[in-house]
Amino acid sequence: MSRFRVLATLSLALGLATLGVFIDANRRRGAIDSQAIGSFVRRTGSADLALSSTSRWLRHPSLAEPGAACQDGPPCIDTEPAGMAIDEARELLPSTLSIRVMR
Amino acid sequence: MRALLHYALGSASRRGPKNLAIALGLAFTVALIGSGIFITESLRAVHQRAIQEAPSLLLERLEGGRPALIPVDAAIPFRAMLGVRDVKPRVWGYTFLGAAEGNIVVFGEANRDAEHVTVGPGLARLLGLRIGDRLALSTASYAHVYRVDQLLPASAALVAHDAVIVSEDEARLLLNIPAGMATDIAIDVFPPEEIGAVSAQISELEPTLRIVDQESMSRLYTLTFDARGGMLLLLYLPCLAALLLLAWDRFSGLSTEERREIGVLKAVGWSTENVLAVRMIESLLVALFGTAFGLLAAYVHVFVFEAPLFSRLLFGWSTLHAPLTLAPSTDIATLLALIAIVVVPFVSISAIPAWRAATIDPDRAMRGD
Repeated sequence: MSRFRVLATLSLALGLATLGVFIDANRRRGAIDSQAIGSFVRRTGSADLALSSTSRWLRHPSLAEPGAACQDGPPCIDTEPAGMAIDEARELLPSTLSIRVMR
Repeated sequence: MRALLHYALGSASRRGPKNLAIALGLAFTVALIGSGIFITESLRAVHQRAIQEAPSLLLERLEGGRPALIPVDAAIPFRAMLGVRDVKPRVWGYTFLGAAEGNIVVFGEANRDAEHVTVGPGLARLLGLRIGDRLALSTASYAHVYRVDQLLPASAALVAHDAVIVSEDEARLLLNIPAGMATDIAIDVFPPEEIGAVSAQISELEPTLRIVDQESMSRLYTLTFDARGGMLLLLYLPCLAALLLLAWDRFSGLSTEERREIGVLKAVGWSTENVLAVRMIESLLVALFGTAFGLLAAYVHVFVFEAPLFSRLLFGWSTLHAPLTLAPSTDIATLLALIAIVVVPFVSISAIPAWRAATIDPDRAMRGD
């Protein structure tokens, strides 16, 4: 019987911890004022995350220099550890040069 | 079933230290993987919130492959386009701030007086600013003293940490942007279904402009977080594999005492299925408690302590970076997927050793052969 009691105690502790996590998660979600983020973006037009301010391709990936030399491999963690967090904006790079082969 | 569970609990407690070591290893692995998932999901949610308010289109002029200033007048033809609700030439840029040893982003705001400045939470904290303080900003060619009229709240730090907002004219002077020029042009389109059509019209009218649309930005960040989250998961897969190997070794290596115990059970009438069930229940208990503890540890690591193990990686060399004050945004499906990728292989690899143990000949097992 004591084995069941140990299991029940452990399960209860885990259940209480899970409940605590749910309550805490709700509280944190409520505390984050998403209006503040929306308000800033409306004022400035900038929705890029401020995870790093060292490189433009990290601070403003959507507006980074598409043709700059550092665009070749910015996500390398050797160059900048924060490259692990933000990828280069390949999606947004325009084709600035069209090429045609004629024979 | 009750008897099997009772016996499995006894068996687990008899091998307490070994099971505890495996459960802790499992918890550590789950905590690392879970932390990565919690961070990427929360950052994704913040960006999704931010992108909803972003301009539909941003237009940049490129010169030599680099963004160049764009004449404010270039915005005029776009105002008449069908679906365009607002066209706003933006004046913004970076400037190095010695005191912070990092770059700050200066935004110019139209219809704002020249004497006031709004400061982001990072800079405000660094300089200990309060509303009403005077703040002198100077460049090689211009200097001005502003009064702080607003401090952006800490809850906006993930987008506004290093921001300074002044009037448009002041931003021009601080960033050395001539009158009549802008950094880029922001265009609001309504309804959103028209964004593609407006973008195509602009591209036809001004083929040299780089057009960044809201949808592409959203997709860019989604891909980034997917890729980076996947990369983190890949980094921890060897950790998980090592743990599974350890568990395999633990479950397959039966001691003489364990073999004798199984032999006695079978001799008193336990079936192979019963012995198998006991072993599976034991490994399932270890897996469930280890995983649950790991998820709790990941939650505390990311949301209570702001992910100290990951933040150096995320922020790189940056000196002025936002605190990782995140709100949990992980859905139940993701959590269940995480539990599945850890618990299912863990219980599965214990099945074969459990089957081998369950099919031991009782006579030979009791004699210790």
